[in-house]
Amino acid sequence: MVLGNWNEKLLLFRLQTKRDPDAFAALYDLYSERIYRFVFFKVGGQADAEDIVSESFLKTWNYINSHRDEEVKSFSGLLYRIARNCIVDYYRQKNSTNQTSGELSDDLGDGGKWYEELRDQVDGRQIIQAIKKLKQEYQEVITLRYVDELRMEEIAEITGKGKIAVRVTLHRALKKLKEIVEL
Amino acid sequence: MSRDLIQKLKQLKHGSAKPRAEWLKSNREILLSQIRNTTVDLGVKQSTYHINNIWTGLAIFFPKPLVYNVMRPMAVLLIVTMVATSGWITTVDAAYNTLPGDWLYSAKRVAEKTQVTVASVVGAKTTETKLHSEFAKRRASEAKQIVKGTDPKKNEKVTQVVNDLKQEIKNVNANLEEIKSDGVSASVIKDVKQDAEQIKNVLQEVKTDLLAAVATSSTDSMANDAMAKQVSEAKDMVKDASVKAVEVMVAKHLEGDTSVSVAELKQEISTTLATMATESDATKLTIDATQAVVDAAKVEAKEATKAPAVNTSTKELSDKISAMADTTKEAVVKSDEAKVVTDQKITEGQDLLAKGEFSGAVDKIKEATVAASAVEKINDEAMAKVQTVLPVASVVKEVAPILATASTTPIQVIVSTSTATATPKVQVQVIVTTTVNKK
Repeated sequence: MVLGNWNEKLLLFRLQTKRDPDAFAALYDLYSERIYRFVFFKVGGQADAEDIVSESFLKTWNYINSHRDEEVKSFSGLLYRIARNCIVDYYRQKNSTNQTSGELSDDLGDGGKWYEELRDQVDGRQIIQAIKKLKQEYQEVITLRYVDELRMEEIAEITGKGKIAVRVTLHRALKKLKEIVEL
Repeated sequence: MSRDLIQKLKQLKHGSAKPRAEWLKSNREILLSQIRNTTVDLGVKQSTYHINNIWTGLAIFFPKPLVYNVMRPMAVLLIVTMVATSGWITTVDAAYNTLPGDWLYSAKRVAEKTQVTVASVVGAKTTETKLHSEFAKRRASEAKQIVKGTDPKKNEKVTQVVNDLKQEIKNVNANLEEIKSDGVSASVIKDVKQDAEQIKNVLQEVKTDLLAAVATSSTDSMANDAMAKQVSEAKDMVKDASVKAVEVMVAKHLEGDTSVSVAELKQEISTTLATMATESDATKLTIDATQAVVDAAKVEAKEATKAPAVNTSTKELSDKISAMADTTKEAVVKSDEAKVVTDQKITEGQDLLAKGEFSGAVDKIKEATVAASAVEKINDEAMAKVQTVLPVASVVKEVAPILATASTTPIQVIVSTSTATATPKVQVQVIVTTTVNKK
């Protein structure tokens, strides 16, 4: 994990100083799947998720190049933040009320068919439905931490909270999820 | 339970939440082509090194405030201390021979500025003056290297270093003025004067190289001429600084400064006058050599027009060379007149020196400098005009020393023209077949 961090930092350095497309490509390889999952859980459609992911990467590239004097602590943190903003724009465009009510769209992926491929199908569906019952803040930290396996610093940067606040939120979210699952 | 729950959460990333492999790949290609277009539009050099990248790089691994508010100032302080104590020899050596555009060149300039700052802060005026003089020498040397090189950005770089050189000389002059009025030893002035002589010689070489540079287009000619003028201006400034150094030496001596003895002072003034006399003769030789070459070329070109199947371009070339011969002749006349004034002033200076009238001798040196600069300007203009038609500058270097001998036999200069193309190319060769008349 430590080596991975240094690798990301070196790639970010190349991106900032030399606008190196190869560095960007390497970062894309590192984070494309994670960002896709993050977006997919939020928007529930494959095509929309793909569009938003493309847009997020391009906006991240443009941001880094136009803010070269600004400190970018981590590429992934910035990418997730931008992806989050793209999702907000997506819902604004669609005039959806699901986002504001704190509920995910019912259409998770291909109408929910995807979880049938999981070995533990019942458990998978149960978990997802439980997550859907959580408030938005809890959903986010749970998926970022355990599905995308981000570090606390990255989650903090994405959510705009401090690390301690993220830990507390995560603890409460997991506790709440447990309660829901045990019901 | 928590562990089990977490495990199930982690499993969610497999299955349809996983992106399509073919989409990942195609999206990657599309993104890369989009961003590559961005970097082309911006004209960004992807391999450019900038010294500030060091701090940018460190800011990736350390908090930015730590890097910019602590680490960088500490590094600068360390550099200043080491340079001030002459302890950073390796780095200075590594940067010493760099030219504008090299990545260590900025480090070299930073080190120079730091040295001057330190000298200025501790009030070491003599050190500061010597430093400016040394840096002016470096700029002259850099100009020489750049002109001899093949850098496509030669013009810009020469202009840059010549401007920097002029600034250093201005600083030297300003410091000399201060030294004049405060209790600082005059011995440093001798060093400045010596440096000024060296710089003058280097700049003369640079000017000659610029004039002799093969111009493939009129744009190149104009650029070289402009740079030669810049170098001339810089050379005049250096001459003035050299004269000022002598002036300050005399002033200090008259104030009772014993760091330079009377004998040394006389020697300095005498050397200055002798150098001016030599330079005056050399300038005369140059214009005479130019005339010799142009006259020889005129004869050759006229012969060529007598050929049975002469074309229009050959005739045009002959006419141009004839015109150049007239121009050069006029320049020689004006140059001779101005040289008379120069020589007269030098002689008067030598007379005053012999009488011990040092201030008077310095005034004559100043007057002779003005006259000599006028002669040089006439010659440079004539040479630049001729060079547009005949590439004589490099040939003149060979011819001038020969004219300086006691030989009375004319030198044979062969001018060959190639009329194969619509625009005839002219090449000038010197074939020396002199015999010295022994009296």
